[in-house]
Amino acid sequence: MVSAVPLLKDEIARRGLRIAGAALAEPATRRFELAAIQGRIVELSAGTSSAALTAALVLVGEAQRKGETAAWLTARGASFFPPDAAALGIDLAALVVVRVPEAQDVARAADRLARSGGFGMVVLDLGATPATDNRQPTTSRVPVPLLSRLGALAQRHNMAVVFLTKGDAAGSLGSLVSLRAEVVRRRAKSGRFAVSVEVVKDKRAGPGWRHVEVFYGPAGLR
Amino acid sequence: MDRLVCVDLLDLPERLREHEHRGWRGEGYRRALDEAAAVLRGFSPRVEISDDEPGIFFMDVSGLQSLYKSASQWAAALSGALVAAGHEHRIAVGFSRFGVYAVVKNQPSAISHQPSAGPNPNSKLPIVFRSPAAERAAALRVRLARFPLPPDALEALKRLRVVTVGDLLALPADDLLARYDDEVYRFHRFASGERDLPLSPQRPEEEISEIIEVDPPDDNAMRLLFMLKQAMPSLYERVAKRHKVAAGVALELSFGQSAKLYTVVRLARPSRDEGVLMDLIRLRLDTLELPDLVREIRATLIPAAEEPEQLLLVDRPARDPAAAERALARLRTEFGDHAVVRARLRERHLPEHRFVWEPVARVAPAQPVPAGLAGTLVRRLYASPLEVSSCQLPVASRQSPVATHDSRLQPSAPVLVPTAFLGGPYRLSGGWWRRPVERDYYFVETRRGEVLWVFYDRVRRRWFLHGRVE
Repeated sequence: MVSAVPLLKDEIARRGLRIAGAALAEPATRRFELAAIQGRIVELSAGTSSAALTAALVLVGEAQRKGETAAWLTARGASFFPPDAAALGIDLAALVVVRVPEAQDVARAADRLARSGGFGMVVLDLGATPATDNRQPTTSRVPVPLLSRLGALAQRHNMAVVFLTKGDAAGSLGSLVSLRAEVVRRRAKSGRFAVSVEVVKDKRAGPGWRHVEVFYGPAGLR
Repeated sequence: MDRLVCVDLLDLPERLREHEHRGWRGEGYRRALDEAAAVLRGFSPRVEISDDEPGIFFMDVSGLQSLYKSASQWAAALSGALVAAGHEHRIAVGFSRFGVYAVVKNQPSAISHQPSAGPNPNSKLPIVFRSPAAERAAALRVRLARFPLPPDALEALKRLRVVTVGDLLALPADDLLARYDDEVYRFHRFASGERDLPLSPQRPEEEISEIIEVDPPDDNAMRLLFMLKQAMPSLYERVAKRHKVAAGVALELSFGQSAKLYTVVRLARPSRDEGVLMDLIRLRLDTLELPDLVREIRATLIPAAEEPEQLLLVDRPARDPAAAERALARLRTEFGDHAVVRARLRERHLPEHRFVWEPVARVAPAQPVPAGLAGTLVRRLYASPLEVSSCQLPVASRQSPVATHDSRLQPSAPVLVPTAFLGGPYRLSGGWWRRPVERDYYFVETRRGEVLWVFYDRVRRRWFLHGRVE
């Protein structure tokens, strides 16, 4: 039971013992892929050195390769840079982007799309507002009844509903999220970056697992 | 104001290509062409759609002097409407068919619009000629390479130093027919005015509309909806008589003292189902802010040919694209036509011009490129670059490689000091023909680990945050 790891670690420390094997010391590795998030509400939290936007777009690319229709919902102030998304292999002509006036409207628009059952993946980019508009916590932008309805619709239509939020656990969307991960970007050798999706909550498989992928920086970033 | 106008809608050929396959043109082709022509007909009833070159339109503006003070004012109004409709365009107002066509083809930049950023400041205004002589002189100077002529013929003419329209017209037409392609001969006749045929405008179909008098005047969305509902059967009957179905409805709400509000509701797919349209009208009426009590409603149904459902012999996809399109139509109704878009990449220099958001109505099956071994990180781009002073970036030290670059900044502005310098400067420039833009882009890392994409505007001498790597 991976979910018991933190409790076991505490117990071992309390008794003054040491861990004999490496199984409990390192988080388990699993693939963070579309199959793992279908039918669920997923929250990708972005800290300051994050790559949540990249991780979400990688999932969009995977959804497209599996024949699913994907939609990206965002406020008008900012968006992913489309040439970078195209470089990830995403077919921009088939990616529906819904740009609403305010971040508060993103979840309402997602509800409309989710009800149709016509989409296999919906990404709600709540971290899109420019740096000057960070005062409002992302949680206040998604009312709980709406989140609950999105969860039910995700399950009914086997659809992945991915939220991109900013901040730590305190700023999380809450208990209705089925999987929550923090996406951390670290500099690796030769101008590459290791992007680690560290799952801190998983109602199906338990928390504590992670998935690591290597990326290059955009042109000009060394 | 007896003038002839040529309008080139640069984005239209690409939109039309989506509905064309090996010479076969689908219903969407005609619809896209008609929609573009409808915008132009708002400014002149005489609009000719070019069969030879998709995107080219000719218009006659004679008799409009009582509505517009000058041809320039008319052209500016037309340009504004085309910008609002999302068309990248070029306009020339002159006297002869070839003259305006040649000048339009010679315009270096188009007038375009980014919904979030407003009209493109780097674009040119419509060209309006005051005399036929000025127009002719301008047309003769246009290089032949600007026209869709066969490349072989262009190359052969260039070797003979025949590079402009004037050079070509100096040659005898019969000799051109003997030596070059048929197209060169026809172009010569067109340029010399021999093929200056009168305008042959297409007649638009009569509108299918109903006027509903709201008595007593009312502003309750639900009551207005029910009044519209009563008018719908008659509108649907009339559209059915034309063997067509409804693609949407245009509503014109009149308030007292000639104040009017105009809104268009479009269906995801043309349909006979009245209920789907009523549902979208309800959403639109809910979102409209009515300035006064409504006294009259004019409802005009937009007709379209019915699209036959294609029988699928292979497995049906698990998702219903029609349901997805209905949901998108609802979002368009609720948040506006520019809310549902897709990105189209363009060959431009400045980051914000390297793509354009274009409205999307249909959900297309994806054709993604297989994923490579290692992808690239994605940047988040701000619609309007933020001045660094408002971004809480760490402030000031002269040792910074970036700060030394910025000696002429205003003393009050904060100076950028990254903790790590990850790339740059990469100079991007553009708009030299109108408003020069010169930027030095850098990737910098803050002490919190953020990788920011900033630029120094060399013209304005200010720093801006344009995005971040996420």
